[in-house]
Amino acid sequence: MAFPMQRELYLPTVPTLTVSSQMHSGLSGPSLGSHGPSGPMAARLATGKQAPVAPSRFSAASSSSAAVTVGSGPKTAAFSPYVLNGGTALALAGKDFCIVAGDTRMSAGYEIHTRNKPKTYRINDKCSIAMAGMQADATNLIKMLRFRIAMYERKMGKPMSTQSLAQLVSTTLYRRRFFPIYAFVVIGGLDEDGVGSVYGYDAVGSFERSTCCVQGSGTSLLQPVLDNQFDFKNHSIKPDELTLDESIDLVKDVFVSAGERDIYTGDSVEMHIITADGVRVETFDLKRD
Amino acid sequence: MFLTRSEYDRGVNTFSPEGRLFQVEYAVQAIKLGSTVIGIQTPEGVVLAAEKRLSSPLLEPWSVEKIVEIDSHIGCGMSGLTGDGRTLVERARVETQSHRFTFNEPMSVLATTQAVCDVALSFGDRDAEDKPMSRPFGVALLFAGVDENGPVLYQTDPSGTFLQYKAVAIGAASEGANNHLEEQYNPEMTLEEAIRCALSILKQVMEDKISDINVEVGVVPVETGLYRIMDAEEIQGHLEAL
Repeated sequence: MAFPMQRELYLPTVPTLTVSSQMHSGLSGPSLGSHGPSGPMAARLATGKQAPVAPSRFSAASSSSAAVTVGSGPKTAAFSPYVLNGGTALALAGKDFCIVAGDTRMSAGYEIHTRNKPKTYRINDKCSIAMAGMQADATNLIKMLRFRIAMYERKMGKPMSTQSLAQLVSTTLYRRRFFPIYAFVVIGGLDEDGVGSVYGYDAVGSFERSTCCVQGSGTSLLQPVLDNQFDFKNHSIKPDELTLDESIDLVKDVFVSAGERDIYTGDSVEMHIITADGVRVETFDLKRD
Repeated sequence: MFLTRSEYDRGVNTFSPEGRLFQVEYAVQAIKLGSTVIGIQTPEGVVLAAEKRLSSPLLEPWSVEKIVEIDSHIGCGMSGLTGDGRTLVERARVETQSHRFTFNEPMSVLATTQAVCDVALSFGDRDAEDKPMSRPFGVALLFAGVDENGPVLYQTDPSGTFLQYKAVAIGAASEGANNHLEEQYNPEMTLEEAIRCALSILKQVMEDKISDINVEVGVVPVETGLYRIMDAEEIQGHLEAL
């Protein structure tokens, strides 16, 4: 997953300052002005005590505290807004159906935060979204999308089509081109003709319609398998397209396999099965190890 | 009657004790000075026909434009202060393109009309954001288009009201033209018949003699779903057949 991330957060460890009383006798803090540090630093000099370390990572990067380099070399205060919560989401499109599925494990590093955080979101009778990546960004993205979709439905007087949703997601992601939403989206639904359609995205809104797309930590394991077993890529003799039931079984198989190899995929899978009759939600368990 | 009004027709958003906004009502009157535009909706498509007032033989007729394209599937006829009309047309064009950009589909005619009417009453307080007008827009618009609901025709006025019509006329001769439309409209009309109907009504209500250069005709046929303005030759053909 080629995505720029700052991995560690350095907060400045501010050494205790021992300042002789002569150094600033007769000077109040702010008047140190152009000669020395001002702001919190000046306050520290004036009191001769260590100011508390900035509690927020945001203020850690502000000019005065980041510049504290007394003694032990330069320290960096990095703004690190992203975490990777892992998990796998996928969508498959058949002639008259679509399956959108995602596991429900949410973790960070070697810790599992919860075993029950579905990555699939139902939009309407025709489509669902699934997202992997950072759950906070994914949750916020789905809230923004639900707002836009509700406004659209009132204004246009009809439910949003899958292709319109696909474009909306792209523009929403691209608006944040220079501070990307760390969520990897896949949309599955039925198009205007009732044919299954899948749209896969990168973090900045590039998208492509396909018939099978995997996002998240299991991508490198599952995408080639589905290319071969669902799309029948590189088969010299193409078998018949998979039926809905066969596709559901394939989804179960690949998730079980991903759960064996990928530590970020497990616990259970929520699957949205979209047909002309609407969206049916099914879940099945994976190993919890 | 005018004396009782005088207190309340200065401020653009001050109600009179009878609950009227005189400036808005005056703006509605401004349309009655405009040239006549007729719109007819048929099962085969929608037609707009407009009178062009060519005040001088030295005037270049093409520079009088009463029917314009909003998006490839929507046309718009205007009557009243054409300058105000252009502001609203610009808004409609931005809205339809923005809709295509965000949702990858053409905007419905209803939503486009609604978007334009949202601006109609944003006048008054000049300091407020998004209120570029100090007075009501003195223009009525006819939006004609084909969308997923088929062919549709809407009329807007300065109060921001919009109504859907099977056939309607706006402008100086709207009263007479609307009477003619009520007599002649038939829901089974073909597009061809609607074009002829609109032109024959214009012929009757126009002060100048109708010709291929002093009328404009725009159509949105269901078959193509695309707005198109007729050239002089095509108009001449229809006029000869009247």
